[in-house]
Amino acid sequence: MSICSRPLSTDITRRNFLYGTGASLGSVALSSLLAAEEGPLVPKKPMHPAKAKAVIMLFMEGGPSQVDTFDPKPKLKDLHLKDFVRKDKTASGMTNGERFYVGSPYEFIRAGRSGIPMCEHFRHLSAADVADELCVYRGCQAESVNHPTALYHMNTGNRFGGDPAIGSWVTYGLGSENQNMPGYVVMTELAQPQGGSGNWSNGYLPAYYQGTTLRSEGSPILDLSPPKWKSREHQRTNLDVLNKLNNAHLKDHPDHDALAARIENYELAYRMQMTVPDTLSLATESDATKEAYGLNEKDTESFGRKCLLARRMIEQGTRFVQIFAGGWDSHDFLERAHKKRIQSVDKPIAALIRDLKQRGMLDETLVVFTGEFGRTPDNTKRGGETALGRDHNNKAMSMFFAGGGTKAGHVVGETDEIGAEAVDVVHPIRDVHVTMLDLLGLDDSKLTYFHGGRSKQLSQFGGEVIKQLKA
Amino acid sequence: MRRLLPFFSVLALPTLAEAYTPEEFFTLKVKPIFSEKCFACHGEKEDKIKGELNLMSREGFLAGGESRKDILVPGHPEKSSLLPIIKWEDPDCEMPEKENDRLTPEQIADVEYWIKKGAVWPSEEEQIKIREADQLSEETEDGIIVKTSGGTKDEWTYRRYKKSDLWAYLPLQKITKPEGHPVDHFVKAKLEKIGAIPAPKADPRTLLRRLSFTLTGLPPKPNEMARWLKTVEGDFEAGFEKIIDELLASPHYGERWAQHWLDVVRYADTAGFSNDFELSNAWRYRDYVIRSLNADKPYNQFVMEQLAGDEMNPNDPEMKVATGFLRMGPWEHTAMLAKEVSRQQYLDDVVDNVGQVFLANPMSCCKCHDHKFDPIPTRDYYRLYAAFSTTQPTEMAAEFLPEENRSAFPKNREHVVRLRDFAVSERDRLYKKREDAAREWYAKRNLPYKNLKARNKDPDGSKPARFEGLTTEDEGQLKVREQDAWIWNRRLERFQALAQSVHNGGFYVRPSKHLRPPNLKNPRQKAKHEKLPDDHILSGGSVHSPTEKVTPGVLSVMGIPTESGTAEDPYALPTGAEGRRLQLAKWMTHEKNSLTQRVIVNRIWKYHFGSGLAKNPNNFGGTGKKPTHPKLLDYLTGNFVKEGWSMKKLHKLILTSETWQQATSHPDKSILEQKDPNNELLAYFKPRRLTAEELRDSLLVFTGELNPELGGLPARPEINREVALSPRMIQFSLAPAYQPNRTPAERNRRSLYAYRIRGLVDPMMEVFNKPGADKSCEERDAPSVTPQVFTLLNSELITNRSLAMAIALEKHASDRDEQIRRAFHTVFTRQPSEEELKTLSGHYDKMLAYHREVKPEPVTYPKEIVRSLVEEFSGEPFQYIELLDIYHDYQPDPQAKDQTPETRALADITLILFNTNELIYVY
Repeated sequence: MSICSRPLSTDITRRNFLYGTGASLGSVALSSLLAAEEGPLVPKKPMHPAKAKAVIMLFMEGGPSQVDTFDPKPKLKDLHLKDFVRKDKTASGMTNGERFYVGSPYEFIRAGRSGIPMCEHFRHLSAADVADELCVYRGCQAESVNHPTALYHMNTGNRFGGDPAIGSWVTYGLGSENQNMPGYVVMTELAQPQGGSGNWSNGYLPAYYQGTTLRSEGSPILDLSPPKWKSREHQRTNLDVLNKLNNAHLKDHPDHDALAARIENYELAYRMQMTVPDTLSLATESDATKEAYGLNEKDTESFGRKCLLARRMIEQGTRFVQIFAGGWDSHDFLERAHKKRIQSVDKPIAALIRDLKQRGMLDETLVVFTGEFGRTPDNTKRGGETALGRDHNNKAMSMFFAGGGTKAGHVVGETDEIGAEAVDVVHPIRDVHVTMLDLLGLDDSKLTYFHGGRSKQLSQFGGEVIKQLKA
Repeated sequence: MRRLLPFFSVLALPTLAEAYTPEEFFTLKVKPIFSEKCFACHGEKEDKIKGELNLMSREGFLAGGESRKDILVPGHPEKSSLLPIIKWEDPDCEMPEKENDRLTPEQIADVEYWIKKGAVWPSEEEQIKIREADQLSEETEDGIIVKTSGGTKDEWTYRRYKKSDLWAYLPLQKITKPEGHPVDHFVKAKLEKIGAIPAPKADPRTLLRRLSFTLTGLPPKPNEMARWLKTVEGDFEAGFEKIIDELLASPHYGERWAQHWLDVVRYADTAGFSNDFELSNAWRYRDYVIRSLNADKPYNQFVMEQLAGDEMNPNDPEMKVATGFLRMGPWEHTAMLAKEVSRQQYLDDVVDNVGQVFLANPMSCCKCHDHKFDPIPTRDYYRLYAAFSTTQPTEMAAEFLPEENRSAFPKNREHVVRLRDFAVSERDRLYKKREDAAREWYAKRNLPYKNLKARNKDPDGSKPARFEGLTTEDEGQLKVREQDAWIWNRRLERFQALAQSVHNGGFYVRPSKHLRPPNLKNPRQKAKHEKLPDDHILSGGSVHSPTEKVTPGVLSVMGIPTESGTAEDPYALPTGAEGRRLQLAKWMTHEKNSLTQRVIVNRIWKYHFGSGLAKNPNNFGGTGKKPTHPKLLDYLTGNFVKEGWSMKKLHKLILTSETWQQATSHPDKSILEQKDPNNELLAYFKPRRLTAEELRDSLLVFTGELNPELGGLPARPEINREVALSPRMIQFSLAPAYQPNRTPAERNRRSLYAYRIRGLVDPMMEVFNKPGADKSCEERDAPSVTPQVFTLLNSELITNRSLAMAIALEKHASDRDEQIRRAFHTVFTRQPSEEELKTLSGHYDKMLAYHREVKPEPVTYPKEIVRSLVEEFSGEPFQYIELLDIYHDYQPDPQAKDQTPETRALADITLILFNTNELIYVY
């Protein structure tokens, strides 16, 4: 944070209290002030040269179907509604009853020069200038087939929750470029995902690294502003008196380090009340930009707004932004349900990638599109009716990356002929995490925190970089 | 042959590599390093050899791997590329790659020495002989071999441990009572060694505030403080002791210390994961803990009841409640999960937490392999697992006790029934709509109407569609209403005499929404109930990879036989369905089980001083920090057991020490800064920040709003309303909104009683670092983060508290300065200085002028809320109305719009006081 941004009038008084009346803006005071501000979120050097500086993680909650999005399986159309025999009886409780294959209701197109296959409803993502930036990955396998455990796994590396989220690890490793904004921001759907805030918890890392949920409408951060009948000047006056009491108290307890930090926090909070709404205001964005992100259409407005906010925050130095988009859990009526979901994110994501590219930010921003698991090529009867949907599948899924040092215009990995199981470049979730860290210049095995008797890491017990994903 | 070292000089001697033959040196020093650090990736699994490098033999070393051929050049460490790699000096290759596995300098030196001496690698037979000879010597310079039930490899079974790493597993040192206060004796002895002196005693007012918070979690009231100050006048020690006794006798003592215990056992009122089901009546366990602490139940009994109360006394309902401990972890089983996997998840959680909570050994460390640092083989993990393998999570009938507070039942039942009825009527409306359409469908085809059940199996096309007559909006709503109807029906369990407990028997799988005991009249259930499981070591921790069979047993490292032990297996637990946990509990509380004893003494110390004598109260193993004052810990522990495992007596012993009564400042910090910068030797008392609960409870004390009622159904305080009403996904639907209690008295209970929902945290509690309920918390974090400011300065909750206090002040004093004095006195139990009074009265006048010009808007409470949810069947958002019945005749907290400018100006003063460092820190 820059010292200049602090309102001078209050600042000098405060500094006089802090450092004695003899101190001026000279080097001594300045250096002590800077020292005091070497907080846990100051930017830190990566461990090795980084490709990406920041991450935007687009989380498709519910589990998008790979065979209806990025992994076409014509064979499934031939098998449509024919009896399916499941090999693995231990996989989940969803193995009972009469099962049948379900072919994809969609056509696929080959997008861009790279010819990446995509569902026909990705009308915007399939534009050549966007599609050729994507690196689609089909080799990841989740472990859990239950939403909250799989969500926890993809977000924290641990299926059972309680561990730090990947965004917490990244801000722990790299700090944040903007001290007046949270370093790790989360924007959820209408409803919080299953498992709730455990998905962006700091776990055993210090609380500084917790994800801050930000609402795209209303007060962006809880209680950011006082009640309306208290003006900003009113608050400043209250804060000045509080500072007076706190500084007198500090004199009585000169050895107690925590006091100065807490005083400083009130000033930072006061500044954030201005900077956060500024960052989140779309007033300075052009109509064309808003249109591109889909802000003028009902279906895309909500997700589009979050994507645009993500770009604004990354631009201003936030390290990790995560956006949840729900409703992908299509056990039934897949055709209309998945189509709707695709349409609600397609245009905003395309705009985001294009916008980042035009601003020269895509190289240093890693965009990740993923769910918590994939879906099965088959389904069962529901409510006595042949349901055209898909169950959860932990053996195959599709995700894609863009920017941040990933291999643009490529499809990595492969699933079997019905999309049931990954068979090539197969990796567990932890390797995806390790790869993301690696692109950010962090080494999962060295990015550790001592807790519960050992140095813990995001991957739990180590993993490997998926080299094929790197440019 | 290597010479044996005399016991007393173990630590004093340098490593004497020459004492070994080269063959011995490899077998005993180098091979175990390779075995532990390298083989897993380089040879052990033949199909998965990394970097084409197989290190299982000397030939493999010499052949090298994919990238480097010169891994080993015998006789030439400087030419062997192995060394820079294991030193992490090779920029392209650092091995082992994980920080955790990195070789110590001693290990690197050993490898280097081995290479220098020609990299000798004796045959397997020769290695076995060398190891057998080595086992004859109990102690060598490498430490001691610890006898356990045995590892999965000989290298592990016969590895040696430094004695200092084993401190927690060794018997208590016998220490005679020293002269003077024992705490001070041992603390001063350590301080003297670094030439430091202890800080002087804190002043009485500071000490009494500290005491009040440490024992009750509540601030002293001004009249209490005045009385106490009188009590300690003259003979301070005698007076202070009296006040300790008074506070230990207060029911608030049990509440405060129950909170500590609930942190460790991860108490919550719901089960987490997909559905976040309510753990109906979990509060009975919470209140059991409070009662036990208030009664000063001996700790050994407290432990036994929680592990095996049902087996100790099957007819006592309280004992079923006590085993609620075994139900505290987050867990669910639904049809989406493989039952073996959920079952394993439950048992893994219990085993790991029994280890952490009672034995300070996180057992998950040895779930997949023998423990890397401590003498706990994976066999013992699965023996402990077997101790619980007949334990089934169950909701058991358990009569309410006269001392259990059921006063909230009638009002709460009304609330539950109202919401249930609403959900049922909405659901039935949609059912009717669907069935009307179905009737029409059949009528059109001249077919007789069939109800849903009757037509279920009919083929598609010969029956109406699944959602016949319903719009996509209706489809979504129906799903929500069906869920709500059963959620609220299930919540009627709150008023049934049942407890979250366990029963013994075979594995009869039940979804966790309805965990009733098996029906033994049903032959299928009876057969499952009677079929006891076999237990195995699970390879890699996978439930699908059972290996060697194991029987129930305790941790062999302690060397303490069980009552059920035999000559062949002294650590055995019973193998029938019953009694496994009881024998485990008896072993756990055995008079010789120093581990259980040290663990609780260290925890109690930690809560009084901020950190434990051993800094990791959940981990006493080799990787935890060793005790700073081992003699003191052992003295206190021995004394604790001698005094009948009484926690209250231990508190008193600690609190009467000069060490605990020291000031937070120190007259001479120069020595300390150099020799003890972290105050581990306790030259002064470390200030601490109030916990989230202490802060909220204190505010309620200051405003006079605190309802001091004990126990009962979880209270629902106001939490940030946006969070309370924000939608939250559960399986198939949204969780019901969080609704606070209707009246202030119901809401303003101590924070300990607040409804703890795993999937919905109270943001105020969270921001002040209340730990999550998923993992055992040994120590809370207390950093200053900016969102704390927003909560404490801007939130509706804090605004309401500031107004409530202003109103209370105005009732007692009409004069501005008197009100300010009184505010100071209430919050800080001291009078303001002249300057403070001048500042605040000036500020009051300024604020009064401001508030005269401002008119606050009323706060409105929604009586219902429109929910939007993306329907998975259609991909479209749909809406439905959720009833917020509580707000229909809600009694709100004081509202700004109803207050005079004077009250609001005074509320600015109280708000400032609530934000001061003087309030939030305890000195």
